[in-house]
Amino acid sequence: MERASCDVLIIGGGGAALYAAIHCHDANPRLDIMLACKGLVGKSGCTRMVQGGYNVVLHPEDSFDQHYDDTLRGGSLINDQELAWTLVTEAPKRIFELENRYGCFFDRNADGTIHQRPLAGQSFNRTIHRGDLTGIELISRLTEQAFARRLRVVNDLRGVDLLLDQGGRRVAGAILFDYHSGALVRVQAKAVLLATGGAAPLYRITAASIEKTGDGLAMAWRAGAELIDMEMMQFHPTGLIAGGGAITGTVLEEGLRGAGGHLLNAAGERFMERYDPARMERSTRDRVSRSEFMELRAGRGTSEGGVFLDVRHLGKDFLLRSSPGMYRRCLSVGYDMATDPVMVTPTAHFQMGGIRIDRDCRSSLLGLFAAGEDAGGVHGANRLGGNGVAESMVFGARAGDAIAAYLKDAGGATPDRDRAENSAARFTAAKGRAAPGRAYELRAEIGDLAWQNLGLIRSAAGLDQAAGRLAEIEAALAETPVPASAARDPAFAERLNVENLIAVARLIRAAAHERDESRGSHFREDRPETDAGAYYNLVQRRDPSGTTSIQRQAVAFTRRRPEDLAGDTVIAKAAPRPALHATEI
Amino acid sequence: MTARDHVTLEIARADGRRSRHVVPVAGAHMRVLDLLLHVRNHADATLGFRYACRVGMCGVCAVRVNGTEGLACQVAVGDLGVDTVTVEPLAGLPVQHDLMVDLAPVLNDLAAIGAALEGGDAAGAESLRTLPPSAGERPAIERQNGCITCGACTSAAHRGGGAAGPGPAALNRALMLALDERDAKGRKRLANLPAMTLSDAALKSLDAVCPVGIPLAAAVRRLQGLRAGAGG
Repeated sequence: MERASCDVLIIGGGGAALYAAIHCHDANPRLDIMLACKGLVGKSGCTRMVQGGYNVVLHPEDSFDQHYDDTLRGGSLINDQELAWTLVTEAPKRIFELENRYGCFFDRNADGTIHQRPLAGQSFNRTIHRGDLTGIELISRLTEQAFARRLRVVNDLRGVDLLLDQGGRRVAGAILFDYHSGALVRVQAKAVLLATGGAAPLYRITAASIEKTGDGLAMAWRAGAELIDMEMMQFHPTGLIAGGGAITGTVLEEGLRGAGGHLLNAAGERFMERYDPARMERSTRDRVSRSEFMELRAGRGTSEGGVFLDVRHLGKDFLLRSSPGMYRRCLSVGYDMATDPVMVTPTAHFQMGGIRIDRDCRSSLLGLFAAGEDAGGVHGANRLGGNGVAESMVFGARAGDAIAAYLKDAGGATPDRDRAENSAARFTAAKGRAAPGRAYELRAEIGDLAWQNLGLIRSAAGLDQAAGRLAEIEAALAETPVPASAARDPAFAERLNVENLIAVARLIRAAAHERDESRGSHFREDRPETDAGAYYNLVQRRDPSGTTSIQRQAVAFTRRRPEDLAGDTVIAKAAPRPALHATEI
Repeated sequence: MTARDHVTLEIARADGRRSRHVVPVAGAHMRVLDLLLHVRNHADATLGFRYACRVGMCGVCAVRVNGTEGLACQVAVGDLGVDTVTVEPLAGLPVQHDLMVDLAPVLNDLAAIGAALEGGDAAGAESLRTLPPSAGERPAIERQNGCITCGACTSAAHRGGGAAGPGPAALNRALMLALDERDAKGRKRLANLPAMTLSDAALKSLDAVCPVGIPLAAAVRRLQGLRAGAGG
């Protein structure tokens, strides 16, 4: 095993990872920071894909309290209230910094003031953006700032396992895998940040960057860190269907629905009539996605497994003006939105659950930090559009600051040799009865399983069935070979992906089973009601014997009590400037 | 658009050979990326190529398709109108594995010329400037914005005989910063910036290959003009 060392090891390459690296360096330029990414730093992850924008209170008529209440309502009140408050109150600082220090530029009104657009579930127009390519602006400027600081950046180097000290409660670095050499690299570090971006691509149809496979979540779970609300996975209702193409699942912005687009089943019926006649297509993301899934399950979808988003009546002029990027994208796969209904599907979009952190991004293991989609708790049971990238920026910065502060006092820990060897054992060359390419098939199989049993509609029976199927997939994966040289072997890389996806799928399955109610993005058809009196989070942790426990922990109402937020949980109670159309990533 | 139901895919491989695959085309809108995924999933599990976002925003899947740079996730097979589709890695960048190239030089170019905003005294301001979108150089900056550092222009410049030095993406960013009223260095950035020596035809090819439509030739020319003005 190759060896390396650094003060701070950051695993990930998106917005949270870059922000943390920049802040950590600026807090203490003497720190040796290593940024390792399974793909390319600055190009991986989903920050880059953000279309909608970033929620931030800037307008004098808006307030932290309003943004905060919207966020808790959106999360069905099981958000970690301190994390959510941090998100809301620090979002402006990061925007000032992004513009004034890092060089981003966000869209202005004609008079030169900042433009803020409406998004679903918000009581005020507070989303700043750069056209419909906000993510490119953010990630490009963060990447060049990180490079300007001459940080140690290593591409194509993925996290495999965390190194722990002998007591098992303190992180001492990580074992990484180099795609090009095929070798494991043992990196001793005083602090490790996981910012690898969640596991929405577990599902057959997803909007997220395909390379994200829950690596950080699986690493944290294997090391015994606490994970929170892993059952909470958001599905977006308008994922594009483009034949069998890889573009399938990518999001068509919510503005099309908000502006009056209709959703039709294969028979041409506006099926939302059946599920939410009052709000129809303007209903909330979770309901619309679920309604679509019900239609598909009832056999009222198209042969390609979709329904139709029909915006023809909005007119070509409007469509070109309001959604030029979406118009072009649809045209490129053969739909002219002005004349053709577009086939869409629900699509796995964002993982609300993740590694349990405090305000300083500290996990339950000393020396281990998490930020961005790898962390859980900020969004509760459902995330508002525009809060995701805000989370990555706010908590990425906090992680960088907190790690620098932690390292003022903390030294390094000594990695436990036995654990390191155990983790390397699965890289020992082994013949398999299956072909290497079987890993790609198994990725598709776990994607189908997650879609059917761990997705929009869950039941105890379906979840029980999933446990058996996951064991079968795991057994089949064990039959794929481990090559003597794993250098530049994408099939072996996929094997590692599937291994992590199995771990994450099990965590989602167990949490979805334990939460015997429906709330936010989690819907149990055998328990369709929300448990009105019980607000709890589900905390999972693997103990050293290998058993994963799950505990209900009551939400701490440190700032708001449920009665303070009575009323509909997602639609805004009052809209000073009503949202005519909403846009989301 | 043609309605071919199969094409022959010819892929430049790491060992110097070209692998050939007959690949079904599910529709004219299928992308080159879909063909590559088909080969990897069904024919050759070892095929190396990069992809991530699949909607033209991350820029890692840039390759040369029938000789011309493009994003594998954006180039539609039906638009090519041919029976054989050749896919090669970008030129002018180190090839790592089949179609995977090392894109670090593209980003390192940016770092080498210090292409990152220096906020100066206003860097710590706790407010946003009032900046009308139509005022001053703002429209010019916006025209050049949106680069996804995919390396397509680096490859085209290399094929067009461009000398070593910062690539078109880095020069474009330098221009944006030189025009940006927020940057403490501003036009002082231009003093030590190496010139880009490309023929008009080669400059035009940069615009043709940029998958996000940045007018790169204009950027290079504007830089030359600014430098001439600044140096006088």
